Amino acid sequence: MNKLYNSGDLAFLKKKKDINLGVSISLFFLATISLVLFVVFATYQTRKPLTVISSVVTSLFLIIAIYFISRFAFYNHIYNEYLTLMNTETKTSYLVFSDVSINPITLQDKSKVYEVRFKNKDGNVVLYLSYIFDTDIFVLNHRYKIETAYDYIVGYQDEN
Amino acid sequence: MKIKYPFKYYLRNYFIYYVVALVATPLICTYAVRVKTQPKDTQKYSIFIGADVKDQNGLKKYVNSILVDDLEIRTYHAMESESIFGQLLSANGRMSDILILSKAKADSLTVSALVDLSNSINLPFLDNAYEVEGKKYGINIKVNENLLLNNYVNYLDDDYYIFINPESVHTLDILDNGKTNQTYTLLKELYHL
Repeated sequence: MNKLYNSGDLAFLKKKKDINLGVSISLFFLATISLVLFVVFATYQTRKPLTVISSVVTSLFLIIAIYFISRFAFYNHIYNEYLTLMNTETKTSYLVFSDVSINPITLQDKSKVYEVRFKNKDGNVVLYLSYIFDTDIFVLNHRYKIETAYDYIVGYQDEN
Repeated sequence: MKIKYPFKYYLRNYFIYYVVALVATPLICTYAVRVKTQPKDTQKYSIFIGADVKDQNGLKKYVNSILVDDLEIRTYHAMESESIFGQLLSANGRMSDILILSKAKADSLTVSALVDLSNSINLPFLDNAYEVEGKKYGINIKVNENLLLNNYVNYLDDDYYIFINPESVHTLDILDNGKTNQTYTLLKELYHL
């Protein structure tokens, strides 16, 4: 059984989110330090150049910090999705894939997933696959053992 | 695991934060630097002149030579004939320590906004003071005499007066509520006391 959600990837995501959070906090801290330093220097130097320099440097730190915060938000979201789906009891189904369509969609919480629609003898089935996984894992007319948590595909095995 | 940070998607989501950082940072920096470098009221001395100033730097140096060294001298001037004179007077004159204005212009002002010098025993040069209802508000500038200030200012007529802003912190020795006596020191020098 190919586990899509596994502890190795979870550790990788945790490391990614922690690094991005650390970098963004450091940059916010540097932005604060740069602002304070330039304001202190302004007491001894001419006012205008220091205002410009402190604006540019602080702004630069802030913008890079916001970039890393957004990276953190991304990895944190994926990490939480991983954690939830790993800890949820899974359901096993056996499916023969025919007429599969895989479309990227955006859910209400703005996260992106692949909507996997296919037909088998029981009728139409709709499952979801996180967009961080490859979509070409399924081969038409092959029989698959599918593990799902909620409506998400969390594991699969080609029975052919 | 195929995973790539979707920068464009997150740029859209965080766009407002990037804009706020770009706009707010210069404002915060400017404000913080200004607050830090802004001289206190006792460290600056402002003069508003309703006439043409020939040599602004010379005037600042001259005033600085009379007053304490670390005082930041600010001079504002505007021709009384200018249409925006009233706006300049209310913007700059209101925060100046002394105002030098013609009699004609003083007539159009609310004198209650100026210091009544009638009871100031330290000012013996109130002979031709600007008076309203028996109260003396302005000290006459002897335009045709050797008042050192005349070297820097082109007066428009003969009747000019020095008025003192009641909000000024430099009115010690003239009023009871001042913090420094810079105005008194300046007047003493100008009138050779």
